[in-house]
Amino acid sequence: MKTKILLMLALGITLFFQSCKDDTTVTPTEKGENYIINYGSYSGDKGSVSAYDTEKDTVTNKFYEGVNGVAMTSNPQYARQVNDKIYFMGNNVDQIFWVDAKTFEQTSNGVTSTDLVKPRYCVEDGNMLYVSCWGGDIWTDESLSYITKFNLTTKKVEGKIALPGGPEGLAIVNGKLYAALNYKDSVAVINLSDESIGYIVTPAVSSYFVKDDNDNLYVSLISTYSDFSTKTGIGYINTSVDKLEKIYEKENVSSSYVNIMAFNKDKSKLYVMASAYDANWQLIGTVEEFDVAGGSFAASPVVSDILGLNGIAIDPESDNIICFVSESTTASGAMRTYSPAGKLIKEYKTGISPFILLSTK
Amino acid sequence: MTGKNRLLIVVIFIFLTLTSVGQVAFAFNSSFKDSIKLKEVKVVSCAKRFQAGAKILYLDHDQIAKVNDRSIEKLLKHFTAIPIKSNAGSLSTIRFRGTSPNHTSVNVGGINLNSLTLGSSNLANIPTYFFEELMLQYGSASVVNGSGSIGGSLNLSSQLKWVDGVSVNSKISISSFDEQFYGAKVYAGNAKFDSVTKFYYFYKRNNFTFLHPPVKDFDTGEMVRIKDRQQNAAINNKGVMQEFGYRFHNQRFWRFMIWLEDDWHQIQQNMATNLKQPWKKEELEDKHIRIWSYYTNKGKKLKRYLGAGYVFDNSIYNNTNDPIQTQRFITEGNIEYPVYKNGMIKCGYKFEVISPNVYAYEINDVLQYQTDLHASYLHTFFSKLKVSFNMRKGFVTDFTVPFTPALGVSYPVMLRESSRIVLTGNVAKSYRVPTFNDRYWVPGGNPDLNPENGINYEIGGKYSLYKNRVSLNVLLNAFYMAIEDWILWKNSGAYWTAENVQNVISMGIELQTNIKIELRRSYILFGLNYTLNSAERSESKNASSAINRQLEYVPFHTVTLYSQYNVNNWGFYLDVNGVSWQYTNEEPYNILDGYALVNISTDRKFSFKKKHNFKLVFDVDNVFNINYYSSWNYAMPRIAFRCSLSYLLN
Repeated sequence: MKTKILLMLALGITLFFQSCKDDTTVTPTEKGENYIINYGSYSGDKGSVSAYDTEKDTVTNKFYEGVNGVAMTSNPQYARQVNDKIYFMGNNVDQIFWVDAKTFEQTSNGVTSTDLVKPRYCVEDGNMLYVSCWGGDIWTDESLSYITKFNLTTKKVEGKIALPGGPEGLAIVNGKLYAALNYKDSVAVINLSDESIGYIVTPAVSSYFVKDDNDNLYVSLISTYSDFSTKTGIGYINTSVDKLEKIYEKENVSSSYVNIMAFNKDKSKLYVMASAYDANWQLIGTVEEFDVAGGSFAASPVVSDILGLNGIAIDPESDNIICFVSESTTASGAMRTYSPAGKLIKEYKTGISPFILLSTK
Repeated sequence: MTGKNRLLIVVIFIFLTLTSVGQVAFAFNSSFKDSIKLKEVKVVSCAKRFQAGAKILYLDHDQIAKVNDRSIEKLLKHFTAIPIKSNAGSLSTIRFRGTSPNHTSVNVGGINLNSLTLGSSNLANIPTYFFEELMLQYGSASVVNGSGSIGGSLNLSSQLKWVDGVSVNSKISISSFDEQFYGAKVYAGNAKFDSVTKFYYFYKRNNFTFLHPPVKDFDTGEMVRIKDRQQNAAINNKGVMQEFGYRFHNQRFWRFMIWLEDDWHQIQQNMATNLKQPWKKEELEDKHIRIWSYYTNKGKKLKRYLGAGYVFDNSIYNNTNDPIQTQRFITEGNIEYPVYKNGMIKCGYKFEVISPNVYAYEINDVLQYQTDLHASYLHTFFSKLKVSFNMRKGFVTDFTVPFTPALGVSYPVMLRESSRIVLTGNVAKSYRVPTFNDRYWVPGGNPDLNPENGINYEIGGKYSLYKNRVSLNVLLNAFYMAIEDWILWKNSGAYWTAENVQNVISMGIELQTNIKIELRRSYILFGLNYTLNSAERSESKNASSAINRQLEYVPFHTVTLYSQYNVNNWGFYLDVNGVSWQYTNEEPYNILDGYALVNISTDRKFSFKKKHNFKLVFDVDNVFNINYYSSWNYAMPRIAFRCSLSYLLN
């Protein structure tokens, strides 16, 4: 009898406390072909995906959750389409998981491995996905990092290439894997045939690459707390001779781990995420415009004064500049579109911490 | 920190400690005579006296002893209705009246335990075992405690027994999930001089089982409910506290405390990581040296108090060499003097020299100075109406601290032999100086921040009855608190930076009741604590959809119920604590369900030759094995069993 009374008491109290719940769910109504990847919060909300329909000019949030019925279990650090799949580099859970690029359905469990700790970025070469990994607390031990090899057919981790210095962005040209090192003033060049490693010395640490039409690379040169440098900007790597041929200096290029560089459609302009001091002497986000043919930055940013700038992209259809905005890790972010001249066109609500636009068109 | 700064701090500390204890040496030789048991004058009671109308509650030795093999989190959950956000034992932070953890100061003597870098205390690292009393001040307490006491304050104190001889108290407990606690207190003295040596050792493997929320098995497409076991969430805390006391006269004391604490834990991984990366380990170790000494003389018309202390805090993440250390020298003093016929005035100061050594600061070679001056006046009109006025002004290196006044009244509208009703009212300003991280972290620290500031309005009433062996207390309070310039870290576009981002309005009702019925050979005790708290973000510089909506991790309803039946040497206990649903972000999703946990226990006292006293306790926590969450994505333990044995040698 006592047990029953206690049970009823507990149930009653539980029902009382649960009766006030304001539950809200979001169900996507359409599929998109441009996807906004939202990182979420490392210790709180996991990542999400928003579908950006350029024809209807709408953004549908919680798209992954709507298609798959559950929320992500990781914070995606990067996402990339390879053939008919979109691969996500998940953090906390550290895993590679993938969805169908058309339906966005996930039909296999993600892959975890002790050789896949803090994955950052990925790039494919044939049947192999190369994933840069910090390997642990890279800021305390720069020797921890490596490149993980993930077989796209068997969906298994097939080993790793030790690469100290905190590899971040990756690019593959002519059978060579270029790795931007975030804790060493060099770009690593790995010959994929024998996995030998060479280095291109840089005046600052680097973070990401973009590839031009000649398969040469622009690399972001940044200053970080652990590796301060005054010579920041973008560097130009001639991949046929593996040489840093030119440095285009620009102060305060962003050191954020988001998409910080994007070409326009004809690759005549390269937009770079940076920052500048506002009237209150506070560094605030800007988008700088680099003239590829002229080899110089515009005198003033094309977009300026963006609090919470968290990544940039180019609308693949309109060529508009896209800025992702995230002021906090507990509230929805935004995607803002600007004309190539820098005029604000529209703002869309996204998930928490948007940072990449992935176009599957 | 440079050797020069360290030396300066040590020299100042030694000088003021010797000054405060100088009178001890003078009378030391001739004092080992009397053995009169006296109740010690406590510093905290003085704080209450000069704050008429403030809501101040005490948890006493018996209440603390019930859970003194666990952290202070368990104590608060058991006997108060204060929301606490926690994981499965290694991290626990308080949300007093809708405020953040760094809006509550946790004090031992003149030491604020809150981290100077983070601004808050991890309640899981504060051992209840070392203390015999907890004073809870609800609402703004900056006028007494200085910076950080916007939502409230916790003041822990230990008591000397003034034994004449030796007394030993020890406790051993074992519990589910490989939990072990060993503690001992050795009291020795001659009623004039007293020494207490305390130590404890706590270990918990913390490998409890839990149920995941529904998880999709993408290989099969099915939703499954997985039963899992928490990995790599062990806790190992240990500490030693040595106290000395010397009593010159009945109300003239000197006390000294040194407390060494080492708290290590593995950082609990979220549920998905625990399932898919069970090998993942991270750890955090916090080491502290805390020294506090004071001299007080309350036996004369001019009452005096002088204290001095030293604190070294060291936080080590994952065995790295990046230092996160701060050192503090603290001194404080005050005097009280009666004025007019029914008035009492009090003036005092607090002075701190702080030397940080944090890998991300550029000010590690610079000493920081914080000085507070405060004055209080208490007047009693018509022998009943008490009115207090307090004011405090702080001075901080390169920072402007607001002037902080407080006004309070209390009046017994009914005073009978067996019952009384006292009405109270209080209005108090409060503030928080930004943490060192907020100001000096590179990049993003912002030296141009404004202090957070708040104002708290409070009214309440207390009804007390003692009649026919029935004692009843009912305390009802309503509060309204406005906090401006709440500091958050936000993304500037270049890096994350500290800014004064939001204003918050918090209001609510708190009810505390207890009734004790004494029977012939037994007694029954019931208690109910309930808090209704609306805490809303009224303005924000961030684009937030959560304006005028309940704050994250602040439940509307928090309740604790406890009951106790004691007969002969047996005790039977039942308590319930619950919270309503909580937001976890600024969006209308990922909401934590409310829950109520039922805990039961029984104990049996027995003695051997009236000198050796034992108490055997058996507890069951979360009797109904409820799967619940206190932080989004983090598992909490279900049913747990505990058995403890206490021994007291008189």
